[in-house]
Amino acid sequence: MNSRLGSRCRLRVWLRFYKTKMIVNILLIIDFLMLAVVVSAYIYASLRERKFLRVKANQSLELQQKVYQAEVLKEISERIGYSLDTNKIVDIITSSLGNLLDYDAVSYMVLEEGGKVVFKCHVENTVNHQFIEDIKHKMLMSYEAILNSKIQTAGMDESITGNILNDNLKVKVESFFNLPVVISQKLVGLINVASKDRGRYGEEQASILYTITNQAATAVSKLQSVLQSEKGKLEAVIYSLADGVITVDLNYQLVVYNPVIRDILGIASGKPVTMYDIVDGLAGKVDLRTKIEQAIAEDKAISLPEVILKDKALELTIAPVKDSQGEIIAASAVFHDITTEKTLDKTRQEFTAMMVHELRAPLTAVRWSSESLIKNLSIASGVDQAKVKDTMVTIETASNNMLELVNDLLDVAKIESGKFDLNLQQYDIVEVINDQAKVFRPQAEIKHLAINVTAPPKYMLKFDRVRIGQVLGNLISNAIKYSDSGQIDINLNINVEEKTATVSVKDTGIGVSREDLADLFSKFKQLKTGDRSRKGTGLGLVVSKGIVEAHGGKIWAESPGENLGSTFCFSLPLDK
Amino acid sequence: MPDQVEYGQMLTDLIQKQMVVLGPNIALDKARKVPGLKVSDDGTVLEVSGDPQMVLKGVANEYMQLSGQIAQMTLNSLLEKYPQMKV
Repeated sequence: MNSRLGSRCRLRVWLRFYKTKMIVNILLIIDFLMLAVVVSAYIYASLRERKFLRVKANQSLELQQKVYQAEVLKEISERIGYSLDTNKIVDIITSSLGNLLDYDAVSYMVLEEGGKVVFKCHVENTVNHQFIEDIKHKMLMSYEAILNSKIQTAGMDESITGNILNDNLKVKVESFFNLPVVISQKLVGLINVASKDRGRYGEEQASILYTITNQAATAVSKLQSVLQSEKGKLEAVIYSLADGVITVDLNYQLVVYNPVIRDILGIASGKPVTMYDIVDGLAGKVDLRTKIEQAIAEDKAISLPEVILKDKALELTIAPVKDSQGEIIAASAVFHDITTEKTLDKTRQEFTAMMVHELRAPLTAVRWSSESLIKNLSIASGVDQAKVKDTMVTIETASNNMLELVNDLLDVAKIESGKFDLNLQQYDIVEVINDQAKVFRPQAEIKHLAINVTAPPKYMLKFDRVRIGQVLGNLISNAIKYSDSGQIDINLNINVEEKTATVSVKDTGIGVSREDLADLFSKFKQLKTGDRSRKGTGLGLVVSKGIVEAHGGKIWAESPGENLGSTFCFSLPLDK
Repeated sequence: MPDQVEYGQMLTDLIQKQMVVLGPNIALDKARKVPGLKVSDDGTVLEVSGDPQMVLKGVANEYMQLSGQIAQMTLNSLLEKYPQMKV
C-alpha cells in the first residue's frame, strides 16, 4: 500500500517536474523566438539604415559632383563671356577642366579654317619631349579619325607652357583620353588629358569631364546661334539698304558690307569685296583710312557732302560703332548716292533759268513797246497811227505769250497737286480735230505746210472739249514749229477691241533722237535743239500728258530718228 | 542580312576607332558596359551573345552619351563600310 502510494507520489512529482520542464522549454523557445525576431528586426533595421545611409551618401556625393560641375561650368561661362573665338573657348575649357582631376599634361588642338593646326600643351608635372610628341600624335590620330581625312601638320602653331621638360626622365603616356569640343554641330577642337601612370582615367572620371565639356559647348552653341541670328538680322537690314554700307573693325578689316557698295564703287561681282577694293574704288578722292581713324579718334561722325566718283556723286558719312558699354569697337561708312538729286537740282536750276528767260523776253518787249508808245504819244501832233498799232500788237502778243506761259505753269501745278478738273461731256472728236486743224492752217501755210485730217465723219466720245482741244493745239503747234517743209497728217483711229480712240499728229520735221523721246513729257526737259527760234518751255507736252492721263488715256511720241519726222499720239478710252 | 561575324567585325572597328578618338580606357569601359559583349584590351570583339543588332545599338548609344556628334560622325563613316548594317 505504502509502496503504491510512494510510486503514485513519485509519478505525481515526476509529472509536475515534467510539466515544469515543458513550460520552461516552451518559455525558452518563446524567448528564443522573440530574441530571433528582435535580432532579425535589428539586423533588418540596421541593413535598412545602412542602405538608406549609403543611398544618402551616394546622393550627397552626386550632389557634390553636380555642384562642382555647376561651379566649373559657371567658371567656364564667365570666362568665355560673349566670345565666339573658338580657340579662346577651347583654351578656357581646357584650363578649367584641369582642376577636376590629376594629370601630367593637358593639351588642346584646334584646326583653323585655313587648315592651320594649333597645338597648346600645359605641362603640370615634368615629362620629356617624347611625351608631348606622343600626345600630339594621339590627338592628330583622333582628329583624323573623326574627320576621316588626313591633316597637314606643316606650319603647326605649337606652344608648351608649365613645368620644364626633362628628356632624362624615362616616362611615356600610359593613360590618356580625348575630349572633342563640338560647337554648333562642328568639331572646333580636341582636348587631351594625359598621365604617365597606367590605368588612370576610367569611364567614371572621364564622363564628368565629357558632361561638363558638352554642357559648356552647348551653352556656347546657343550663344553662337543667338548671335548668328542677331547678326543675320542686322546683315539683312544692311543688305536691304539702298545706300552702300561697310563696317571695319579696329584693325581696319572689312567686317560687313552690302551689295550696293559694288555698284557704287564699281567693284566686279563674283568674289568677296576686300578693303583693298573699297580703297581702290575711292582712290584719289577720299583717304578712307584717315577719315575712319579721325572718326574713331574724335568719337564723332564725319560727313563728306559731295564726293564725285566717275559718273556718280556720293555723300559719305563715316561714324564710330560702339558696343553697349559705349566702347568703340568698329567704324562704319555709309555711301549715299546723290547723283539723281544732283542731276535733278541741276535740271531745276536750268528750268528756272529758262523760265526767267522766257518771261523776260516778252516783258522786255512790253517795256520797250510801252516806252515807244509813251514817246510817240508825247509828241502830240505827229502821232504815227500805224506805228502805234504795231506797238500795241507787239504788247498784246508779248502779253499773250506771258499769259500762255503762266497758264501752262498753273496747269502743271494743278496736275501735280491733283486738282485738275475736267468737264466731261459727249462731243464729236472729229469736229474738235477739224476745228484745231482749221485754227492752225494759216500758221502752217506760212511755212508751206499742209495739214491733212483722216477721220470718220463723226465720232462721239465723252471728253473735255476745251482741254482735248488744248492738247491737239499743242501737238499741231509743235508739229508746225519743228517742221520746215512737207505736211502734217492728223489721223483718228478707233479700236473697238481695245476700246480706244487714238489721235496721231505726224510731221515731217526735225524728229526726235531716241534718248530724247523718254524726256519729252518731263517737266524740266525740253527738246534739245540748237535753233533758238524753235526753243520752247516744253511745258505744253507736260500739260498735254496731264490732260490725257486725267481722261484715263495715254500719250506718247514716236520718231525714227533725227530729221526723220515724228508722230505724237494720244488715246482716249471709248467707255469713259 | 549581316551575320554574327560581320557584326563582330563592325563592333571591333567601332570600338577600335573610338579608342583612337576618345582614348583606349574610356572607349573600352563604355563598350564593356553593354551586356552580351566581350572585348579584349586591344578592342577586338571576342564574343557577342544575344541579338547582335541590340548589342551594336547599345555600344553606339554608350558612345553617343559621351559625345553624340562625334559618335555619329565616326559611325557614319563606318556605316559606309558596312552598308547592310543599321543602327
